[in-house]
Amino acid sequence: MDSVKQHKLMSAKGNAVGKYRDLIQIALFVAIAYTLILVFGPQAYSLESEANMKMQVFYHMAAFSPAIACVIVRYSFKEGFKDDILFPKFIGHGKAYLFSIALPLIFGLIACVLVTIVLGAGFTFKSEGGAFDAVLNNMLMSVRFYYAAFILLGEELGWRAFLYDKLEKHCGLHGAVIIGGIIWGVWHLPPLVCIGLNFGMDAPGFPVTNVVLMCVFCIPAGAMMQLLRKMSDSVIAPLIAHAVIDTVCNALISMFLNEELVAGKQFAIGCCLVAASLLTGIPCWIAMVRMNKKSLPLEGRMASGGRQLCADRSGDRCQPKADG
Amino acid sequence: MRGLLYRDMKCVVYRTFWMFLYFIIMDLIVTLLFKLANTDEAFKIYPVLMTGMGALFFIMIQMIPGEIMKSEEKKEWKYYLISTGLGVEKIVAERYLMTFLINFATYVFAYLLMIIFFQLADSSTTALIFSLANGLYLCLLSLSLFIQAFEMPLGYRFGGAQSDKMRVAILLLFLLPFAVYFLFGDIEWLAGENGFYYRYREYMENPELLTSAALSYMENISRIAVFIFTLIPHLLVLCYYLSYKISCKVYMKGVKDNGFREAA
Repeated sequence: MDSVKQHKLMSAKGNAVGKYRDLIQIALFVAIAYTLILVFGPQAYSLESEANMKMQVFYHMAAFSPAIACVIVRYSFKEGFKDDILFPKFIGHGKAYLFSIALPLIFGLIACVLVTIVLGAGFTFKSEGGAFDAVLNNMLMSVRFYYAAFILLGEELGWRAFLYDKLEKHCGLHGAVIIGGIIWGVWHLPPLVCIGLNFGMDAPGFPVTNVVLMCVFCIPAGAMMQLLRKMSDSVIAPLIAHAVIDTVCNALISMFLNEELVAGKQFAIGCCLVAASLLTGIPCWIAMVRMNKKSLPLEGRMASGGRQLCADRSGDRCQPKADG
Repeated sequence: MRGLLYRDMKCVVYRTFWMFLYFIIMDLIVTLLFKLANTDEAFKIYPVLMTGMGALFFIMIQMIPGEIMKSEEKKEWKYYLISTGLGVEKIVAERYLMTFLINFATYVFAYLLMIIFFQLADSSTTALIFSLANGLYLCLLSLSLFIQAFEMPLGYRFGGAQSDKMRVAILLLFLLPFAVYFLFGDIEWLAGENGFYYRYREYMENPELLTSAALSYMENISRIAVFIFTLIPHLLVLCYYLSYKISCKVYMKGVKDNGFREAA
């Protein structure tokens, strides 16, 4: 009996140490990511300074701040990149990659419809040079997709490949989505304040309203990305989704919405984007909860042979327990 | 798959490291010389020279994927790889991923070197010249990925040595029309009085001319040309994917045939 008690005590101690270790990791990660974005962000997004190379460096440093934080924390805690989530696992995850394009497109279409309803902005196909010009503009935007994917790798490596997984271990799925969304939203502070990202600089209660709305936007959007990350067991699917939102959805909005009616109403459009994010993200959140329920608990998996695939591989990595 | 990536990295790490270091030192020497000269005329040529050096680095790094391919030429290694149970698709996918990573790392490295040394030299490089240099690097990245996409299925099917010969033959076939054109065609635009060859010297001396020429070219470019240009990245992705699929199909056949050839 003593040995059993001792074993339990040891494992409890181990869990407590592991928990504190993860919490320190999260805190360090957030501190590094925020420091970098607050140092480089204001200069990268400054409207006053003209575009030059220094600004490009600052912009890249700001955009890659979550990835830099992730690498520093993983290496300083000797964690390494054991999770394999950097590989695009196309084989057997076709559905996830299909969703990574379909879900952002649904988000973009809902945003267009909402803007039309709220502003009466005219959901019509517009292009001065005809259909060819419209196609050309979209093709140019689609080329930007590759660059956006490269830049957003900096974000996805930090948020989806590190923060959300760590948070889910301690706060559960709902906690991870909410806290992760808030951290992700507040991280956008420099572009929100400097260039009025998404909501404009003439929003009522600027900049507090912008930050709050950005957090509300990021919570369901984070759920969408995290669902894709779990479905594909890789960060490449959320990366594609994020890049589609930033490029193709913008092209959709600029192609279909009447510019004259939309001009100067950035705050209203931003609110429509938040609503579209809620409408797309909440079903994803629910789907994630159902996915988690379907997957057996760790003990169950071990009891049934230990070789079943984990639907949720974000937390424990199905490590077999030592006998006895 | 991670293990294979590690193995490939181990194969080329020293060569790549020395290559990277060599270019850092070369860039540093050139920058120091320009700093010592410290004349406006010198700094006008500086960005063009540095961009050219970056392009040269890009060309030199192309030998690295070929080195990896040749390092596993031995049939025993290929049989061993198959026996690991990874599957042909994963084995080939790793090589394609590695090739992409090498090329992309080269692009990022050249881009960073350009930023750092332009800042060190404190040259009055305009944003447009910087964008043009970046555009050149992106073109080189696309071209090198295209060439690799073409070369890898040949390498898997016929082995490294055979694929080298075939690559040269295809390259000659590709260059033949250009050679005929440059020998017998109208090249007034290149070597005439107002041709590019003479304007090039002006561009070197006065980069602002290059800026204005680039801008006017962009304004006059036809919409169809822009459309074709925007198609290139998508076609490149498609090419790379098709090349991967072909490599998967010919992999086993290549292992058997090359194995017998080596045995004979």
